[in-house]
Amino acid sequence: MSATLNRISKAPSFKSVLSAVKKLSVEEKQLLQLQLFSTDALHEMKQFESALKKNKKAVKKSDEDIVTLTTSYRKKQYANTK
Amino acid sequence: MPIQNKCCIDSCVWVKYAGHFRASTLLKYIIENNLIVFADNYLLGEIHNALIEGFNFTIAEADKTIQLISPFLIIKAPRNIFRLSKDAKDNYLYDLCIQNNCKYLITLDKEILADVEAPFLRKTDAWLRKRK
Repeated sequence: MSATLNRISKAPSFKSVLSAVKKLSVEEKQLLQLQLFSTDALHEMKQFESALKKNKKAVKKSDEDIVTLTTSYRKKQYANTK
Repeated sequence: MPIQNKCCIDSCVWVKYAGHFRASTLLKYIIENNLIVFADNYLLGEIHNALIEGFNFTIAEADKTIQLISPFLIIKAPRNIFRLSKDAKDNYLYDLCIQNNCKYLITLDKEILADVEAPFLRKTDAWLRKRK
């Protein structure tokens, strides 16, 4: 495995890809990262969610309830920073 | 490179999806819309706290949720510069959008949605579903 990685990393095309990636902006790198790795990350999230569904009782909340929930925490945090 | 759409997603939207075990759906919208999503530690803290307090997540479950959504975000250090929101508590969110040149803020908060003076477009999660 390491031999393969070593061979790939020494290939001129790999080096040119690396140097091209280094020139990308933070936003472009993020898009590239999403295109390359999002399938795996999404799969991991789905697995985590199905485990949660099995082990936890679902709590249903309306949009208004959720806004109240996050807003009250935001208010508290803001009051603490003043 | 596809067209980038820079945006912030308010904590209430993240909590709506993650709390109902549907964060993967929101992540799918991000990918399908080529969204570059910005966040900071205040925002992540709000998500973490709301999942524990409102949806009975354990600390470990809330931690794991944050860990799994993080690759889909560009996390910036918070810097308070502008004071443009109608409600001072929302200033940090406005700052996050403005400083990162975000075109959109996705939220469920009716007060923010109604703020026509905000220097970015305010949209709900329903708009994300339509776009894909």
